[in-house]
Amino acid sequence: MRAFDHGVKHVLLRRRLVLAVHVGCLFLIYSGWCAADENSQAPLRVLVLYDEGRDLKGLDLVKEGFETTLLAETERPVEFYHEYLDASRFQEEEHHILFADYLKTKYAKMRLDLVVPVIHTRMSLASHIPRDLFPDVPIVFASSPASRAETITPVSMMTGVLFRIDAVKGLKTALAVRPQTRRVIVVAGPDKVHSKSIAGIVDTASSHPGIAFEYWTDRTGPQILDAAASLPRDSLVYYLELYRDSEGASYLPWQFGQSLAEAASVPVFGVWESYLGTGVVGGAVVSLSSLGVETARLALRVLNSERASAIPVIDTPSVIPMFDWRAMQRWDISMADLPPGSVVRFRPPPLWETHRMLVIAGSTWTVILLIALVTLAIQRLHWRRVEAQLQQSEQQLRLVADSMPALIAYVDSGQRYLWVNKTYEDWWKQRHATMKGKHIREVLGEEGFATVRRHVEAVLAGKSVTFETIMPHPTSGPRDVLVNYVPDVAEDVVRGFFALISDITDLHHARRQAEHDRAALAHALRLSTAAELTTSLAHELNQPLNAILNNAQAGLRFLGRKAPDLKEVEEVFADIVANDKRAGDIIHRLRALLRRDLPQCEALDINDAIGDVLDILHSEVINQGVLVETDLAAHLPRVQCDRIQLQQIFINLIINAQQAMKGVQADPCTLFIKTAKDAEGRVVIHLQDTGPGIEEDMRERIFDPFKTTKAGGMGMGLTISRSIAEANNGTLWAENAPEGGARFSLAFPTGDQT
Amino acid sequence: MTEPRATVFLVDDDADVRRSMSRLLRSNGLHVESFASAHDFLNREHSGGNACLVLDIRMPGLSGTDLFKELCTADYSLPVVFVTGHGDISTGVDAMKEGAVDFLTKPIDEEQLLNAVHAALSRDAVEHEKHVEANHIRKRLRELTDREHEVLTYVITGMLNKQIAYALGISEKTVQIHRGRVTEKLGVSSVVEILRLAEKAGVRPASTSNS
Repeated sequence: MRAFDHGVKHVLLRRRLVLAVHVGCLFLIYSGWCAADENSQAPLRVLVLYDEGRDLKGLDLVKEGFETTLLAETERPVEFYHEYLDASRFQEEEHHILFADYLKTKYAKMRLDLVVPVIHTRMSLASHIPRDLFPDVPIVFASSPASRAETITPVSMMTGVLFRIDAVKGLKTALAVRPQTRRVIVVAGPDKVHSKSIAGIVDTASSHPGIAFEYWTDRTGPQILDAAASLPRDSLVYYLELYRDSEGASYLPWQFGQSLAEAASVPVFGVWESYLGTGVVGGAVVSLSSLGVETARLALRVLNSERASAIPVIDTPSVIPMFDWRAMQRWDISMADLPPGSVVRFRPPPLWETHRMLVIAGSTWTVILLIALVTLAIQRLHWRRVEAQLQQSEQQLRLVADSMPALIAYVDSGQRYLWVNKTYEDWWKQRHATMKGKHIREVLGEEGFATVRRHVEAVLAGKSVTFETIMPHPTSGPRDVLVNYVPDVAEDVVRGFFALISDITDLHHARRQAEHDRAALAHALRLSTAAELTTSLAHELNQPLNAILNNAQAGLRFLGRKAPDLKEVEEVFADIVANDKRAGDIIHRLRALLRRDLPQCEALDINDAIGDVLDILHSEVINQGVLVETDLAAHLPRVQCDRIQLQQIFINLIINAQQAMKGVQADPCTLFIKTAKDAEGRVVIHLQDTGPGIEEDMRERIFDPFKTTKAGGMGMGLTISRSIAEANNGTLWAENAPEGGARFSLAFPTGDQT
Repeated sequence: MTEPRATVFLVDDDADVRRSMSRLLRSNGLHVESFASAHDFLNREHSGGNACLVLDIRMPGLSGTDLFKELCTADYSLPVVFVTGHGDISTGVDAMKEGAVDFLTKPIDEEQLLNAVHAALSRDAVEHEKHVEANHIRKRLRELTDREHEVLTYVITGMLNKQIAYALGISEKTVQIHRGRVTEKLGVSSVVEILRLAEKAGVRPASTSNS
């Protein structure tokens, strides 16, 4: 700290600087020798100190050249540290002292291998800092001669590269490029640093009497830009540098160069490589990247333990004619106008000349690509249309799925919903978004899940499942549903399943209603049949009544005799009783037939039931002149069905047969009734008539409702008969008997399937 | 008025009805022979005497009306009382036209039945007598030769012998001889008597288109 304090005091006094340098040098020499012994594998630490600010574009060129070269030519790792004083813009000494203080503190613990001051124009304190702060670290500088000449005294641990603008060469180059020039505007800041350059220009100007020279060194920036905008065409601007204008406003020289090049109505020539790319045409400029490279080469030598003081300072400024191709185009400067050896930057490669084949190939490719592009565009149009159609059909599909009155869902193998239709959502009062990803248990609830769990497991094992169950409904209570699960199998893996659930509560209700309706219709038809049979039935009832009457009258006669034959009278009474019973039976059967009961299944003896029917229809068939012949098999198994409905079928079939035989000259009209057990173990009843038979195309249609061949018939007899038969698990069919006539057969399954 | 041994034939397929009706008729002193079908009736052993038939119209197989028609084809048929359970007026009218004595609807009242049966038996008595006489005349007519029978058919037209001879292409004398034989064989003495016999026997007069 004491050493630093000591240094700081002295830097405040410029006149004592030299002394300070000398004192510092003593340390430098000593510690430099001590530092010679170092670990070659440790990283090299290089601190680059710039007197200018970070924004100075030229410094980047130096930095790049320096770093690239250094890194390329040493195998040791290198750590770079860059510090910027920005002295041109911040000239106050206070700032410089604090900067030194900052660096001292910052690098106190760090062993540096090299310090590289990059000194531009200012006689800044940056020139001294290395020696003051890092007295035992070798120095390789890149410096403009102005500063060095005045402030740096070469010492043993120091070497470097000098660089300077060459204002005269720059001017000559500019005039060579623009020989028609009659007026040269020299733009620079009011600083003293430019005086030498200005002097050189003035000197050169004297050898160009035909050219007028103007020196805009005491103008403000805006004034310069303003005036430059309206220069005559035979002028050129020769821009040296502007840090501060006449009123002290500070600029970055390259940035001002850019503004100037933009504003000027004539080409602007410059002196620094960093001006290239800003719009300045170029000229004989200081190559800052070369500067960096040269500095790095010296640095390498020093880092390779060469004594810095043994290396002579390089003082051959690398001023190279460099031009910006784009600016040349702007001012119509051709390559031929440039001095030999000129470097032209930003020039697009002349493709056609150098890569003819490539260009041809490129053009060909372009054409091919263009065709491809057009094709693609057309394709794209097509695809867009297809996509639109797809989208539309997808929407339609969704619409269809949504408008289905069934619940549709896709559930993945983890039993989670991936997709549900609107009906599904509505059922559970949940949106698709909230259902998606939910486990079915969450949606169905524990109870609901318990009923489907077995089936879900089955479908996920790859089996299609259909079942009926009762599913809870959030608002309308449990509902009867028919569920279909279809597995989604891909490459033998069940990925999930489709669920189709239909609410069949109404269907069940309708089914029950239909059953009820059928019973009601059957009943209505029985009533209607009974009405048709009134005459026959009356006759049937009349027979016993007549017998009773006759018997009773006869009985009276017998009793009226003087010696009544009591045996005869007894017989009379017995007959009366029997006939009364007979009448009772008829009424009973009739009532049963006309009663409106829901069907009741019972084990029936078919022959018995046929016998009953023939009793009821006894008079009817006689009336119609029909002979009934029966062939009833004994020991038939009983069949499960409703007695009344079965009798109704028989009545319908018998009436149907006798009507079919009406008008047929068969003598006599005969109805054969036969019962038997068929090969399948069914009990079959055949009713065969001697009528004309059934026309082939009517064979099935006769069972259709309202298909009648009778004048007064409703056409419901056979329809209801088949309907009743089927409701009782029976089958009713019609065919023509080989010997002529129609044969209706009615079959019922029985327990013994032999 | 009715002969005591009059027989009522009863045909009804319904056993109860048949039994009761038979019983009722018997209780009224009638002799009853009952049959369950028309066939059975037709196959009965014929016995003479006063009789009638009580016939149920509707029967399986050969019906009452069928039987009636069959009986009508014979030269003499029993008087028939139809019985039916149906108030089938048209059937009744047809039956009456065909010559049935009565048409009764079940249930049949005793009085109705007896009236009808007695009426039938009475008719039978009359018809039967006529039938016997006609048989007797027919027997005598069968003794005539063809030519004599031919002459008879002309005689009953009221033609004169001369006209008959002309129509037959024979002499008047020959007609006179035939006529004499007919009168002798039939045992009559006048043309009026010949006419009555011919009528009873149902001999049809010769057609005299050119008279």
